[in-house]
Amino acid sequence: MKNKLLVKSYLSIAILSTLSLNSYAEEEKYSWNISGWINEGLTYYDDGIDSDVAQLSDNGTTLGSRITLSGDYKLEEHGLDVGFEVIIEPLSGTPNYSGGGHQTPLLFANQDNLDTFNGGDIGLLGSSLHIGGDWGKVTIGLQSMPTDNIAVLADPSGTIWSGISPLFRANGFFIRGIDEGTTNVAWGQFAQCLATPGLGIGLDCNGIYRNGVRYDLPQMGNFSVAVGYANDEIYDIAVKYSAEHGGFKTNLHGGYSVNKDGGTNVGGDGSSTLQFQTGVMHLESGIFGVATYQMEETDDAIIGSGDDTDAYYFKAGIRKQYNAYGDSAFYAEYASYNDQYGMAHLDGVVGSELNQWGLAAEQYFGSRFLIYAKYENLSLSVSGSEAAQSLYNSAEDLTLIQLGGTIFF
Amino acid sequence: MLKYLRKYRLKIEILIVFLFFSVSSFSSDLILWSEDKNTEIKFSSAINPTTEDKSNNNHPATLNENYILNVLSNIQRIKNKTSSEQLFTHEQQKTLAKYVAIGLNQAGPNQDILFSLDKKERSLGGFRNERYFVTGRVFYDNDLLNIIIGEHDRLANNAYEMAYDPTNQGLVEYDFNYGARNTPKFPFDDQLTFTSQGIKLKSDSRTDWITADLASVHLASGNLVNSNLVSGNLTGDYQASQPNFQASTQPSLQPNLQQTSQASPHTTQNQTTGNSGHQDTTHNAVTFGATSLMQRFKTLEALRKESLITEEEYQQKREALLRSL
Repeated sequence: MKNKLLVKSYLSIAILSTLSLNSYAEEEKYSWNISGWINEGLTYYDDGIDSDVAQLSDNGTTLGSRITLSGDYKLEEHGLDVGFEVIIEPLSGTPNYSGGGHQTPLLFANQDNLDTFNGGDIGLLGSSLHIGGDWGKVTIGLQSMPTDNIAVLADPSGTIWSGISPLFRANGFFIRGIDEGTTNVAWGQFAQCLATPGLGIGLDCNGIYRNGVRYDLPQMGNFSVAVGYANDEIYDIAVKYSAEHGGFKTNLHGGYSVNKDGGTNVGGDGSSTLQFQTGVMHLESGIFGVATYQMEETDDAIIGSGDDTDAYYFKAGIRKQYNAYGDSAFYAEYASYNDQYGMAHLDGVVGSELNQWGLAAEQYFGSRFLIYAKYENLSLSVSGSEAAQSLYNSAEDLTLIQLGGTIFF
Repeated sequence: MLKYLRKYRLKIEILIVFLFFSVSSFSSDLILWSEDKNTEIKFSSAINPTTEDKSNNNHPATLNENYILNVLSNIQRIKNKTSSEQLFTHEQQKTLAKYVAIGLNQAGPNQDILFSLDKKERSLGGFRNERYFVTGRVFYDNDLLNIIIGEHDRLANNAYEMAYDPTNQGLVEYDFNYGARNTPKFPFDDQLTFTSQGIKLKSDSRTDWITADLASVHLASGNLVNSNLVSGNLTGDYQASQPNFQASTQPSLQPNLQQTSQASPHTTQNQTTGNSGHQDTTHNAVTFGATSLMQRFKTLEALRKESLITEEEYQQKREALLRSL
């Protein structure tokens, strides 16, 4: 009996050693990696009626905490690279709307600040495999499609963890001063995306992980181009330009997507989204600027609904090393989300403008940890019937002050 | 205005897409070697005199790749009281020596060679890949090879790259600090030690600036006997005047450079044509060995100190040098 156990133990050790040795012997061909970031914040809000501190444990699915497992296998004899990527992220504890499933916590964190909104589960954000070669790269699975983040990542300052064009932070907060006793309308109601029904983030409207196929063409100088097709009939193309010239780092991103997946939150058969973002940074001084534009429209929508929208986002500041810890960044941002009122035409709204402005400071500690502080203000004005104006134009501004940190691993 | 824009929306969209593709690429023509956007060896653009002290390097300079390699391999970073490590990995040394030699041979007086090189390490029992960068600039001035270290062991941020480049196309470009002649506010300040004579810090206050006398380093590294530099009769060689000295080194220099330049799969086409600062390379070339008389006296002194030449040989050569005054 003892002998059998010994044999089994030795056998196990031998197998494990072999596997271990193999993994090192082939480390040039095969590798896998664990990485990600944790992004947590504490937010003080003042909605004009009340104020409190809310522990908002995330800032949207784009930059929310995540863990990524990835691997690559080089098939050198065939000139191919194959690999996979699995991303998991924290979710809220309960479903937040019918059929919506579990959501990333901050999207639905609000004045109620329910415990269940603070995360209680983990879920799958992405799962894909890819195959690449000199001819480009094909990725299949639940993934970031070409125009995902196209209006986010041209920002050369790297300050996206505290400030990006999509309106994640306020999406869950209710507008106060509008007869809130009888209605709970979130600010996201006036930042409705057409490409992704129910997504009230205003910009980066095709910016969710989708099941699809993506083809990244080989890089052409400073240009990179990707095209995608996602369930059920969502097509997109993205072009990125990135260069350093005359001491300036310049990024220019453009993306066009068509969603024929049957309807938007305002009815219609489909929608199209055009997005641009450009970012410039003077490398020596650290001064940077970002400009973003998005235009969305849908055909055959419900008459009177917000079926033709646009949005702008600007950011300007400086990122430079002022102390021994690492880079510091200071910036201001301004955004305008226009006519993204969705179905609020039922209240008589025919036009809306949600404005956001903010001031932020970031401090990096090396390249792996940063803390940030941000002041943000949201305001709303609508046009339409007298009833609509009397309802919504009495909306109180929402003020948010956030202290947060991100650690990369 | 918005209504007008919307009316012509399709045309505007087409125009923008057209412009997007038709804009000529501003790709840099200064790259000497590149593995990806973050591992490069390149020429600096013309140094901005408002931010860096205006320099006038001895460029173009024809230096032997092996001599540069000797310098790089003799720079150590002190890790703690009991141990030190090479500042550059062997791979980095080889790549840097090769392309610095090529680059300095083509650089203009106001151009430096900038480098950002990586090394990969595994952690978490092999489950996690880490990538570290070393960056800096190299130039040849006052008969010395100058290396300024900008950053060392800067960790690549995998998560950051993943956010900015979700499909891992190598689009993320770090803003590296390549060091500067002006004392930087936050210089590379690890302690360095040198395992060969002829290499030292520029000054006590510049922990990031290394200078190297190539001849001394080469000789101190024990290369004297096997080198063309002293093949045959040592005394005779040293009696030779400057042209002969060049002749003894040149055959082993130029063919090497040409050979490496052609053999490299990574070298861009621009390496032989790519900058404006070397219109008259052959005419202006500063050749290693054609150093000042004083430098040759120093070299001779170093040879004697290392007991690489006899006292008699030293005296003979010294007299020869004095006669050439």
